[in-house]
Amino acid sequence: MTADGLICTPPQAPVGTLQKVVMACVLLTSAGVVFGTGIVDFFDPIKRPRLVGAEQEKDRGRRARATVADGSLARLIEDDYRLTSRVRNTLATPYTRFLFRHLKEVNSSVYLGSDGWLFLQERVQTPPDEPGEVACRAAATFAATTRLLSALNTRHILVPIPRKSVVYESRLPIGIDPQPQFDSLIAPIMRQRGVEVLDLLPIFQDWSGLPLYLSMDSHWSHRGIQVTAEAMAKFAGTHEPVEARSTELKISAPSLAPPIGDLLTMAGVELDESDLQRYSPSNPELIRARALPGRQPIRSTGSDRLALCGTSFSDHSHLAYLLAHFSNEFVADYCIRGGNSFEGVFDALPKRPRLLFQEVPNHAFFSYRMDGSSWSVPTSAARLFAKYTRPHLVQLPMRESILGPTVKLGNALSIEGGQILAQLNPGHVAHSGDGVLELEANLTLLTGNARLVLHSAKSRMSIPLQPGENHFVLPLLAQEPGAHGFSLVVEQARDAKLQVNSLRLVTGLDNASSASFQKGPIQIDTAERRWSQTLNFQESTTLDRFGALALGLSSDGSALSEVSIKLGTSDSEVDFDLGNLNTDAVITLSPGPLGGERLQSVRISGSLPAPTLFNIKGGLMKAIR
Amino acid sequence: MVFASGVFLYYFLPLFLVLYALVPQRFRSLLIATASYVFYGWWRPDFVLLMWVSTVVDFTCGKRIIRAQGLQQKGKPWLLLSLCVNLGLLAYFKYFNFGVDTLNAIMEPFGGPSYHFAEIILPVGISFYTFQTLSYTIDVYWGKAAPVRSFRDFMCYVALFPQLVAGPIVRYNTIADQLHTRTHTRSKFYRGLLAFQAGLAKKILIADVLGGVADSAFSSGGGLDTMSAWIGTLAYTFQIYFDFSGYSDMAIGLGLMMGFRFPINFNQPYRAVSITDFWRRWHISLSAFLRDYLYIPLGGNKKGAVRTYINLSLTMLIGGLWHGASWTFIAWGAYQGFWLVFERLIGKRSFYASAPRFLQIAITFVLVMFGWVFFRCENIGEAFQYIATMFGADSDATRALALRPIHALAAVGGALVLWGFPTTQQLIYKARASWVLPLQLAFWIALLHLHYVSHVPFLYYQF
Repeated sequence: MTADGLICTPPQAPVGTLQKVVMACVLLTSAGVVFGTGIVDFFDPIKRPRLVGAEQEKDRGRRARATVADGSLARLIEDDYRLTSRVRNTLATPYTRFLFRHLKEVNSSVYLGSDGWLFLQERVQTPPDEPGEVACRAAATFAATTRLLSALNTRHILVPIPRKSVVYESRLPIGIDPQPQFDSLIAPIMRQRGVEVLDLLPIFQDWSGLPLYLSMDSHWSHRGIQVTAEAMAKFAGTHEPVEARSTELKISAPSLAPPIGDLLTMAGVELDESDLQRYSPSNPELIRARALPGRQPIRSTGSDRLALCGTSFSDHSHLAYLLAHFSNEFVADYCIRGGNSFEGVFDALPKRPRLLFQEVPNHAFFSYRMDGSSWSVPTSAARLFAKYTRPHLVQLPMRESILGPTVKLGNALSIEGGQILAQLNPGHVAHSGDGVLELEANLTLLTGNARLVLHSAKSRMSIPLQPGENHFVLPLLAQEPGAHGFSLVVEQARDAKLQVNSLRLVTGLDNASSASFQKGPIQIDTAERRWSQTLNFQESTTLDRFGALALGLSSDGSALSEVSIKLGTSDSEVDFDLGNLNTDAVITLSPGPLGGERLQSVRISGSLPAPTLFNIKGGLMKAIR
Repeated sequence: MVFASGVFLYYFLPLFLVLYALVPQRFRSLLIATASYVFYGWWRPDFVLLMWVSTVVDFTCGKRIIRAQGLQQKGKPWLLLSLCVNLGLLAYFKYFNFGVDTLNAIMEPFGGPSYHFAEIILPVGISFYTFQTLSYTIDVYWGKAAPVRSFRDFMCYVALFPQLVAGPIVRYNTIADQLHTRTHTRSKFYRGLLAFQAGLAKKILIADVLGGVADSAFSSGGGLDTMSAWIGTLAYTFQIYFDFSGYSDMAIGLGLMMGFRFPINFNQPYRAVSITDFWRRWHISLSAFLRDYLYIPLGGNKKGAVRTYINLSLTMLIGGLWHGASWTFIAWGAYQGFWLVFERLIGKRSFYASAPRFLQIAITFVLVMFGWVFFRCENIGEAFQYIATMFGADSDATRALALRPIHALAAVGGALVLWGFPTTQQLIYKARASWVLPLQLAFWIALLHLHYVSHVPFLYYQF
């Protein structure tokens, strides 16, 4: 220590020749490197990486919101510098390669687990919500998709792709918890909403002794593809063992090698042949075969029977090829890399496939935490719903004033962003929130641009308006059944003139198919402070999976509070808590997991006071096909 | 802004140094103050206002104290105003939610109301600059320092970016003369550059690498095997030293480049032979601050043995609390205070006073390591559980830390620096080619590594 406790330097420069040389070298090289790096990076930056899909949206949003005040602009500048620094890019590449090869090091966007397995950090992390809520939020969209596809005679099978970190949790670095409950709740919650799900998680966990994912890549290995394809064929009932085949379908294998090793690339390590030899799966025939970008050559002509709407998991692998192999049927491949599978469904529907598999990587369920506009799933789904309409939609019998159009129908209006076109207050309609109830709108965009956003029970669907007449039917979605209102709002309007021609609530239920029932008396339970009435159906009454219990209630002037409806079968029952209802409420409830079961009774109950005059119209109706 | 970032190293620093060399001497304080505000406000410009409040209040209080003393009055109200403003800022931004949490915990058993937490973001470095400005008014009040000549110099002193956010705590009277009279030589600049390089290499090659091991160990949530628990503690022991001393070296180096001589903040603390010795070597600027402004005013060791022990314990408790608003920091302070009192009581007669020097160092090192467990854990229960794991109390513990070759390299390098290499003071004073050349190699690798990793903020920013 120095006497005064301060850092101390000798008054004069080093005297020895060697020290002088060293000092000159240190000063010159330091100045050269610091100034040189700054100058090169400033005047000759490399281009920022091109982003696609949700990442691009996220990046745009971030740039638009960046301000000096909260430091977000500063962080953006720092991140941009890291991405565009030519010196960094030039030097870091060989250094990264050296670290990975010799010290098994990877950068901070990737976890390096045991046996050299890499995991993308952002896919290991989960949002700070209840796990079930994450699945519930997406379930309504998929339930409505299933309903729409069913009306178009296509069987919709959802295939959630388990996260690599959940299947191979034991290979994660110590202390990293991927929270597998997020993944394990997806299938049961989807099924509760009537969505048919091929749950790969238990299948993958059974096979997890084998590498179903590539160790250096976030996608499936050839074995993962094989397991998935076989599971798909078995689930769809199209699996045909080779020995049982009378004729063999000739399919051409995809011809190029897939780009394995995205996590390596993310870690900054460039791939070379030695990586491929070292880390590629052991079956070279499959891995060398490669799907062409966009559409695979195995796509059939004419009517599609099996359609695969996938993501990069099946696009850069051979899922369609192997599914065709196991099914001995042509597979129409609508896999889209970098996009989401709703776009594939959108493309597949004109061919009306008999059966459609829709892949959704589980990490996509979590990405709604990003700003609404960045979550591409509801937006893409909205495009699908707006384009394809269920046939024979039936208007719901309710007064137009209840629907609450806030604009005069048939008049040309100058509209602004934020303007509400229609608003329904909760209580008038209770529904399952799975698309059984829809809003049909007919509008004419006379000039300018605008988007319409349908807000219903925490769900948000946005569609752009085209010049001229726009007709669309959007499902009313909700995380759970209940009395939900909605609002139809204009967004991003620019010099827009709009004419609202009609707005109505519609459903695809066949009124004529209504099953008859007998009403029991209203019973009062004073201890529980509840009333109830049971509707008894005939023994042969079956719940149509895509049908609904459609009831029009009218009571004696007092609103009904805390109403619940129980659909009971011999084995189980589902309880719908609908909340408070108006005197003239309309209810449409899908049977969810009870679809296909025999219905015994429906029990309507509510909190006291009980209605003295209580009419129930409607009944159990089938879906129109 | 952080030192270990491309924007600082390749744009801010070179631009600042060029401007610093070009502007006349009389404008240099203004340039430093301006650059410091840019540096500090880079991520949160609004927090610069907070620093201005502290600066204006203390500058005014200093002036008023001197004026009052000139009029044969006491400047106590102005001193109290300075204390209230600075400690008030610290209390609100750092300790408000801790107070609410503690109050809720006390009220809960009695069914009392539960108070809500405020959404408060802790301004970076507030603990450092409030202590610095406080030292100014206190020293002026005690007559230990002359009041600052100009507001410009005072702004420069408070905001001085090299040591602004993580120390060393530079007291006003140690730097007062340097604010307007300091020398700039090539030798000073060169040695400053060496100190900066040493600090950056320490931070990036040792602290950040071993930080990953410590993070894994302390966030494992149980199940860690005994060996891994020890390795995790050792990794954190290395991380906190190399992170903090690395920052201090960089601050000292940058100071020298501008002609300033800052206090030495670390003097090989892991070579200490006792906890008392450790506190003479660890975060020296804080120890000195607490000694001069807390321990001695409390009576120091002049009021009998019992009072000395109380004063020591209280000083260490407050020192612990200064590090963060959490019971773990208080526990860490209490732990350090306990050993200081213990050493005063029977230390000289204890077994390790007569042990060989290397054994004394080893024992002290292990005691310090246990202290860091409290420092690092999220709560006291977790700390005790972790210590129990270190002694094999968790029979189900089977998970081992995933260690990689780079961790071993960093640990070996760290051990060499700790127990084999010269101190930063020795390194820059002698600047031997045999030391400078390996340092250059480490610095260039550190720069390369910096390009490779996204930066990890300095640990002491949070204090």
